[in-house]
Amino acid sequence: MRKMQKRPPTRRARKTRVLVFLVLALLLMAVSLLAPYLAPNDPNATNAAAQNAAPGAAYPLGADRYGRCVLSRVLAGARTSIFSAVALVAVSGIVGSLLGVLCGYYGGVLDSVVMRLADILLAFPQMVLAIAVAGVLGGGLLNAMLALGVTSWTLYARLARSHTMACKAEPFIAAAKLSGCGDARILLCHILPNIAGPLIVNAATQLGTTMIGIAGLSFLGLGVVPPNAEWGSMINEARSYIQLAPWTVLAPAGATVLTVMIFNCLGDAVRDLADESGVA
Amino acid sequence: MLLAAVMVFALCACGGQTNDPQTASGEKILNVAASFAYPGLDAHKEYYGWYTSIYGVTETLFKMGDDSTAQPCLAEDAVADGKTWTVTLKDDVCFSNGEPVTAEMAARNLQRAAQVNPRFAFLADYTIAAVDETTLTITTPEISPTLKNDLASPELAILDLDNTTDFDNAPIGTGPFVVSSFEPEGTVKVARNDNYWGGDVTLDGAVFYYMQDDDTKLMAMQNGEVDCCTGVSSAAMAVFEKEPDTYRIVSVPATRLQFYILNENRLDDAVRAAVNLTVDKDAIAEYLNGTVTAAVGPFGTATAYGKVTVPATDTAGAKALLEADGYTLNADGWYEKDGKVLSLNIAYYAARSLDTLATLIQEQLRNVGIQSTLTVEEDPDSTYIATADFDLALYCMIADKSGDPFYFIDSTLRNGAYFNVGGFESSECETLIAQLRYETDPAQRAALANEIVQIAIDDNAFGYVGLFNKTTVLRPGVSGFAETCPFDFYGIDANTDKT
Repeated sequence: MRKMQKRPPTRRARKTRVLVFLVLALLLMAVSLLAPYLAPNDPNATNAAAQNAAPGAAYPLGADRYGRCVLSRVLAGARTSIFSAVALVAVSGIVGSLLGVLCGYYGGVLDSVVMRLADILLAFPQMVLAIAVAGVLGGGLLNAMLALGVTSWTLYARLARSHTMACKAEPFIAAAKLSGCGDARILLCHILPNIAGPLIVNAATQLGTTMIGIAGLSFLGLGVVPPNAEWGSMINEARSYIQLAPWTVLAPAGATVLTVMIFNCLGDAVRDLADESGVA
Repeated sequence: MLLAAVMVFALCACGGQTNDPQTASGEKILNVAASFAYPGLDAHKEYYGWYTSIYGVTETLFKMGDDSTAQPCLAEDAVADGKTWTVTLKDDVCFSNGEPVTAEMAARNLQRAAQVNPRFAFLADYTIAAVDETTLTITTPEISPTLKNDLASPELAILDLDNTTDFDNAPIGTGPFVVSSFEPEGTVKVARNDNYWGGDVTLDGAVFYYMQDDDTKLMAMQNGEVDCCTGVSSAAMAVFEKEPDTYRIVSVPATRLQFYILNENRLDDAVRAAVNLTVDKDAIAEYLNGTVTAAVGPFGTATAYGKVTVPATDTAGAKALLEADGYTLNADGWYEKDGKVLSLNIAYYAARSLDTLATLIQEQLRNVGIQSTLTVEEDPDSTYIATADFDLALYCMIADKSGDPFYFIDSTLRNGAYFNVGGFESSECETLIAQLRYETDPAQRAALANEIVQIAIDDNAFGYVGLFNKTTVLRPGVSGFAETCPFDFYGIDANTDKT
């Protein structure tokens, strides 16, 4: 919940905030894309001589219990962690929004079925359901994403549905109908652009949560398959070495915190800007 | 402020609880972190006897010594004459309720174990009879050379069958301790047995806390909640080793074996040989921080039946073998044949350091040019062992339960054996296994075992990677937690002390 502010920031300040976090987020994505070129070592190469090595010249963030370079693994993990979250949010956002728009526009049986399904899925805590689904599907990043996707579409569907219902009652929709527009044209050209604002805001705020979700499943061993690097699984692998080689836990944990914070701040900034513009 | 005060108070309260009240009253209570806890205490069922033995509650006719031979315990001796063994009990042995242990009671115990434990059903085919108060005869259908070792199995504990009313919660045994409180799959408390036949018992009692997680065990040792623990992970080992004054680490070569099965139905001879030449056991043992010793065969090299030879790690030799078999390195650095990349599916479960093995083996294969993927399963028995859907399957089991090689050979190398799922078949092996089953001369048994295992090694059917050391960590002043015995099923006894 946002607190009442004495002097709300100006629109300019809000725009700057969005820009700053957008640049940071893009920077992170660029780093993760360029990871293979930036990494000082092969992220999967083991080295018996460097087991739990402290940070130094050869291993800037130290080495883990197999003597693998922690920095290289964090960089390699960035790609998995960030892009899987972005892809998942994009896919579940699009699927959920389309379902929501159809439900809101047509109503009837489709609406009842989809919305009851969403209610059922929302009745369980998202992570618990995801653990169950991932457990049934087995390990693997794609399965972990599917597990989270099973529930995350419902948010977009419900949001899109309510906004579509409000939008449907507007006179310009009636005008479009009278001028002979088909349903598809009305949905895509008139309704969707008008409700896109809150959906995008919602997606932006979901990025951080999704990242934590994927890292959480990997931490539990339900995400990526070893030896692939992913922040959650790195933390889990290094957990028992926290007293001996704290860097093996702190590096991926720090990367997760930093990235999630940047994406959450970006989401908040986008929402604040949208609030003021009156879209949300 | 108030909240802070409450929190401080709560913390003080917590701190107060960790002080052991029993130690304060001057009693000697040993606190132990147990890696496992069973739902019942009926020693004859399942593996429950392992833990009643660790708790010092039950004893067997013979017990395994540090040198892996069967030593007298409740029984004085056993002498074989053909198919009949004559077992003599010690004169003065009695249960914790003071009732004497008779030969008739011992016989009934063995018969009960045969009924309630499928792994000991073979005892039902034995004719077990009490001759007098302290003598019983056991007649086996075939010559049974290892009967004394079998009788040392903790599941064949001798219980007071007449006076025990609740086998699951309060069995009456002969051990130096009696159960004083039992939570199924939880904390177990034992107190001194004042009627112990073996003389004075040093400890007043012991508490066994169920701690499954390695980190929990480590931290409980660090903050003094427990005095000793076994089954130390390689991570915890490194922490303990840093403070030699605070922790005494005793490590003895034991018999729990990490090995892998190579699927002969999927991998041809050259590939299997190449894999075995690539896997560097010494490097793996080094990563595991002294918790395992690199294995040669399935049994410790100190035993008479552990004298086998394996070729040394030779990655150049592995590459040469693959190339002679028609494999060529492709542009990505992987070996391929007929356009198909050689890729192994490594199946494992994430316990007993097998996850570390999987990661390291994958990396070692990669350095040679053999691609592999890892498949982790929760329960190997119902998945890859049952379906044989693997190229290389990791497994960990106790290879030598009773100081004899037969069990492991019979369950992994015999045609149709439970763990022989990789397609290993040798008629020569079958003949030798049949001979080993009835051979009575220990030297001859060892020679047969070495011959059999060597056949499997030469066929590259398996890879024997490491033998776990049994590691016990004790706080200073604690001694006698069976730390020098290679078997997992012993713990406290009359001489266990804490000063």
